[in-house]
Amino acid sequence: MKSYILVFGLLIAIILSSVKVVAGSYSSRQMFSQLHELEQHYRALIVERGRLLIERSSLTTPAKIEAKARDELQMRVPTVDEVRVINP
Amino acid sequence: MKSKRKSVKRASNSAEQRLYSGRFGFVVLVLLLLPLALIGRLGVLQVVPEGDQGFEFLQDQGDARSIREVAIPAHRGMITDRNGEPLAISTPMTTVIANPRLLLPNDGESAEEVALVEQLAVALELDPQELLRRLKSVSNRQFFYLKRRMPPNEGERVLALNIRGVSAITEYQRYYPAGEVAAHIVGFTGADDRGQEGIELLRDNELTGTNGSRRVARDLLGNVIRDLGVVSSPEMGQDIQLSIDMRLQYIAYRELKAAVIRHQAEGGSIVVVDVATGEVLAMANQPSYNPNNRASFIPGTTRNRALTDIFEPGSTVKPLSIGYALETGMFTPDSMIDTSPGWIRVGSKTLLDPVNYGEISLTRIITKSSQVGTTKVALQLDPNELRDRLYQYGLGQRTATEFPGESAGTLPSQMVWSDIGRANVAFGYGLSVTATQLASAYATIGNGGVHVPVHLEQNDVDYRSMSNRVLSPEISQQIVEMMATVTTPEGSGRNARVPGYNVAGKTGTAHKVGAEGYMGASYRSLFAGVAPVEQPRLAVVVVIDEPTAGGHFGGEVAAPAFGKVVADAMRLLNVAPSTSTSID
Repeated sequence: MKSYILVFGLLIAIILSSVKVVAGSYSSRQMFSQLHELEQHYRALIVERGRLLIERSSLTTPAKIEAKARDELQMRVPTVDEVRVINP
Repeated sequence: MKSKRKSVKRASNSAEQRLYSGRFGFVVLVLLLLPLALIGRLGVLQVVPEGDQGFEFLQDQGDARSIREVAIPAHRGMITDRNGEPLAISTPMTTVIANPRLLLPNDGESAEEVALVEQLAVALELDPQELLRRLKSVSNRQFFYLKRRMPPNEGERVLALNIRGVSAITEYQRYYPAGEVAAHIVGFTGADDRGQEGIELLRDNELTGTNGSRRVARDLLGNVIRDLGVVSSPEMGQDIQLSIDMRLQYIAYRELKAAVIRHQAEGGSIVVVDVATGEVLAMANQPSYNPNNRASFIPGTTRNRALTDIFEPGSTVKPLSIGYALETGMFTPDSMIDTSPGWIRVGSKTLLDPVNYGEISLTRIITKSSQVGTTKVALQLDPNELRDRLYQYGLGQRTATEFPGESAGTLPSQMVWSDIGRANVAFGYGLSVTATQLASAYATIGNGGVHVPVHLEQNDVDYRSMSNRVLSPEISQQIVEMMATVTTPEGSGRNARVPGYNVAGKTGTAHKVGAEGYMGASYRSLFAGVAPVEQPRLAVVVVIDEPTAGGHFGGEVAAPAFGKVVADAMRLLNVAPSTSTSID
């Protein structure tokens, strides 16, 4: 009788562990694909960052800023007479 | 009952029965043994690892047919200016590749394949006939670049066609946001993404990353079906930060270009150095090129003239030799030198002043750039000592930029000095320097006589600890004050004046040297100086090569560019004007 209980217990344990193995490998596969997605996202973000850096620096070249300040905003450098130095 | 029937049966055909039952048993045994042998073989293959064609061997063979290591590309580091503005940056691009054997199994002869190539060519924006011809010529190969470095979104579109044998790899494209303005410093990379010029070449090892690798299982068509993990992760290239200030660089470039166009010159350079740190804040050259468009490269435009081209510095050396004269104690800024009658014979040469200045002070010699006065002073100096001083200023030796292709220049080293040789050195002939070396010398004067090695990068090297004192603070202050008279209305460099600031400098005009000695009508116009006079922050050198319109003297050609660069630089560096109204 006792040995039956042991066998039965082991059987249950085997079933449980096999379910666990299936669940584990499933979640590992899921996590792997998630990792893959995140890696792709990361790569896409790097691409985007590079693109934005280039865009920013090509929009903010000193030549462009100067032209905009002078022609569109009618700005100019103050002459010496217009400059006041405030001593602290 | 049972046994009886059996016995009856056996009795009926006993002889036949015996014969056939033996055969039957044998056949059954053989039939049973066959699957057993198979199972046994299977067992051996599955369980016994070693041995001829055991399971390890078979697994290896299987893997060898499906598992590949693919590179994870590492991108090249950025090059930035001192404020982190990108000067060179890599962006990933999609390179579309093909396996012609899979793409054209019939060598492109069938109508189907022609249509396929046409579809592909449209997506790649290539000529279909040309593409088909090229693919046919490589139809037995397994690798072919269809189009390199496409923008990622366009590359995606090609891949979306899902054509058998067409796949993509990531390659990086180098982009230079500053374009021609900083082209000479930054340099450029070749098709293989390795540095070819400038900082890209100098720091290639640091900038280049190490590709990582990843194991993947591929199917017959080369598609990745399973990722088996990263073997080694990629090491991205390091970023390099330069000491250049992009705003100053732009100003220097703009003014240099304007001066070169105005005077129809062949080229030129402007170098701006921070006197206290020895950092190059701007280094502009003309003619320039667009590093983003390799097709526009014209040979000769890619060299960084400020560091590679040597020239005779002419009168810009006078403050350095007069500085040594002061150091000897034989002279003070007020010592009087008689320059009449306006010319002097040294050996077989006659040296001329434009007019007879009469008896003038040492300061006035600098103000007027008197040849006769400098010669008279120089003939009382020890030429070897003077030469050593010039070396300590950084002339005749490479700078700390370590720039590829940099020239060291030359200083004269004679055992026996002729009188004309001694005079020549004092007013800048017989030696050759680069624009950056000249800037280094003026930075030394501006920095109270302490020479800090001139460099282009912001890194951990402590350049100040490598500095050396060339002049005493008093004498360097005296030289700056003497040079300040050059930009007064009666000085030779009055065009270098900057409204609101006192600036000091020295003009120079040197005959260019050709294959047959000095060239009659070819000049180099120079202006070198420091600003502001009260507490110098910057040393600026302007070199204009072969101006052909609007004069050729340093005071006419180079000085105005100096003035404009310094005016904007003072404002950008928040230097308080010396002559404006103050509110306390």
